[in-house]
Amino acid sequence: MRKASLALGLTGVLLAGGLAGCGDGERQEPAQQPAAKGPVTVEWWGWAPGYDKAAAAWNAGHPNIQVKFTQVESGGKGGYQKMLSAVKAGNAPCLAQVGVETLASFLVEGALEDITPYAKESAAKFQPWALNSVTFGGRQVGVPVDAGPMGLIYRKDVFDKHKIAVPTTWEEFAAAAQKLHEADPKAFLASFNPDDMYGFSGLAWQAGASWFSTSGDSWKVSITDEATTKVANYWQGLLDKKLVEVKPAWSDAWFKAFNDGEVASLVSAVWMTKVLEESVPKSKGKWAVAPMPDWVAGQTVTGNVGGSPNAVLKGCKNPKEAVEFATWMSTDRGAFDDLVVNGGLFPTTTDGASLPSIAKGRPFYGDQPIFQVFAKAATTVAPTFAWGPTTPAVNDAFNTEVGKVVTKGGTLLDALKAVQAKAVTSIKDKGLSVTE
Amino acid sequence: MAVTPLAQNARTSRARPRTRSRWNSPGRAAAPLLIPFCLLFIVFFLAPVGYAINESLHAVKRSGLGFGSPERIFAGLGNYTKVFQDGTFLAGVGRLLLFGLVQVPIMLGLALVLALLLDGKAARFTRFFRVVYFLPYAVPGVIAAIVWAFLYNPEVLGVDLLGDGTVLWSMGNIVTWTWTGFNMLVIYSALKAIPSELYEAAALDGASPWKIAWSIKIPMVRPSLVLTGVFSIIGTLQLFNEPMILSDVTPAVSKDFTPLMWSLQVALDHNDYGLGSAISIVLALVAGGLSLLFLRLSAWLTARGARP
Repeated sequence: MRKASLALGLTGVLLAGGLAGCGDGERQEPAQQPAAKGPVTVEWWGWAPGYDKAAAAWNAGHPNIQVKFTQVESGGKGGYQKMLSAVKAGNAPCLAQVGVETLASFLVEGALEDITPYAKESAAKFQPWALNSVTFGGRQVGVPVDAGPMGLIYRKDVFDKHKIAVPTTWEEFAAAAQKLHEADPKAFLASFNPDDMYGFSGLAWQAGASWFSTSGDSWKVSITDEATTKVANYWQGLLDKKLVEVKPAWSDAWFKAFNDGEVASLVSAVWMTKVLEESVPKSKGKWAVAPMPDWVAGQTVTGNVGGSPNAVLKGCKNPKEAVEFATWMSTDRGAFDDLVVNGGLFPTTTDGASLPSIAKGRPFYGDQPIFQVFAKAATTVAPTFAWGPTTPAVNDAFNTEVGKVVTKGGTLLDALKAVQAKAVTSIKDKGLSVTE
Repeated sequence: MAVTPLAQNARTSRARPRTRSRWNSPGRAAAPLLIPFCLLFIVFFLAPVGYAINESLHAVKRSGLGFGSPERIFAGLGNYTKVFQDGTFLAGVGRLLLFGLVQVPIMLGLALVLALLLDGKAARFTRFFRVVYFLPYAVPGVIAAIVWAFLYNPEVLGVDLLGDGTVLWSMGNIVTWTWTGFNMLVIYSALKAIPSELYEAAALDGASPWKIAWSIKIPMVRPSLVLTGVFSIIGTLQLFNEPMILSDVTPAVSKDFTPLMWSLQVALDHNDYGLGSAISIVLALVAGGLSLLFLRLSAWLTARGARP
């Protein structure tokens, strides 16, 4: 067994489970920590801009609980893979940024710790819906951080140049797309991202969709419900008329198009404002934000994308300290005020909208106080949408099927039907009960 | 479990020199030399394979909404039937076979031609060209793929090389660019090993350089061609870097484009290590089977060629 433990040290991830397998699937217990006398270190993985500064600010004032932040790739681009494999290998960080859309999936994988006892005290500080999104079967598994109310982020200079009025409805949006493309055949009002399920879900969310729900002990999947069908047909129309440019989301080509004004707007979540600021710095001052277009003029309903709570991963030795830090970051007014500025994050606390930085103008957006637009939008977010237990698989299915539409042809609606089927299968494959 | 194969392996490898060679030194002397290899072989090869096989026979059981604790259970061959169930695996293998049938002959043909050119009597600056041909192999695969992905951007060349019908061949181009030099070098070394008497004899008989290349050189490097062929078949089935990089650039390449990518997606993205392991084991068996088939085929062709 000596040799075996040497081997274990050498091969880490791959071997750990294999040898543990010899011991009847019993996982090796993490080494005993000395009683919490000295400073405790809480490892924290995430990707939101501004988190590194939040950790530094906390560390300066809390010598006994030191937070070590590690920047990972964003969840869908590899961050979640890294977290799940770390949990499997038994060396996961204590705290991790896990989007609300993936929280249930992590829970189903047994990757999360129940933090209800540590989080109870601060529950009243959060908006009820935010707390709801991190609570499953009465157990809280995450500390809410931010929400992702959507808005229309647009190139004001391009709009002005071609005298395009900011669209307030989706009908006007389509007309504006046509007008812009006719005025400048190289320019598009928007891009269509065949690999961005999360963005698309936000559009469906606004229309009143609810892709996942539970009834009793069973999951229900409805990715082709009426609202989503409406959204799919709308974008199909824009695709058919070639009024939107197909670009993979987050690709260099995508950001280049924003930088060059080739794509003049995006309908996205509040945190995207900071991502743009960091990704296309040369277009500083040329951007502005307006409310998301409505389906029915005058009836304002907003969609939401993301919002990433901090979750305590399985195997964490200091869950109490981890939750203490996470709660501080989300609820301390000074801490979150910094996150609004540094991370473009929108608070989930009851008094969040009154943070001083919400009212501040942003140089990147021509000194427009854009967070006020989102603060207003946040009050009109549709309450129906929920996520299921196999989000990564659904995301993969979306990328594959919608990818086929833009490369091979076919319709978005048919692609979504295929996604629906794959989503149902993925839940069955996890051994869970599901109805369509 | 991890210890038994070590003992067995060490025993058999130790036994071999004793029976085969007549040298008197005890087998014990060989042990220190073999241990580093055996240890690394076990730790980085046998153990992971054993781990993968073990994983592939297990599944995770949940119930209801899945918010309870998942439980690991023995699944028998359940994961293996799943590999073939939804068509992703076969579609991936199909893509690779098509890729291999076109790309491998082109690449090996090119490598052979380059090697023959370098080996020709009239060749000049052979050292320089040998390095130049080999250079692409020195570029890490991922970096090569990223650079090519930039070049394939429609804005650069004006044609869509990343579309549904073209992307497989764009990938083939990257692989050919990377590996031709390597294969050329293997074939070239074999050419260098051919005794020059053969050429002299052929020249005396009045054989033209073409005839020498066709009737002496190529038959003599057949073992190298077989070797590079087997490597290429295995390499094709393990195609990963190029499609993975391109999948971020074009929707025509899905994250389950090749079986290896699918295995990764299933294991890491969907957290289903059982099915992920089963996929990789089936893929290894397919690669082994195809290599064996290719070896048999070339042996059969050689045997047939020997008997006029």
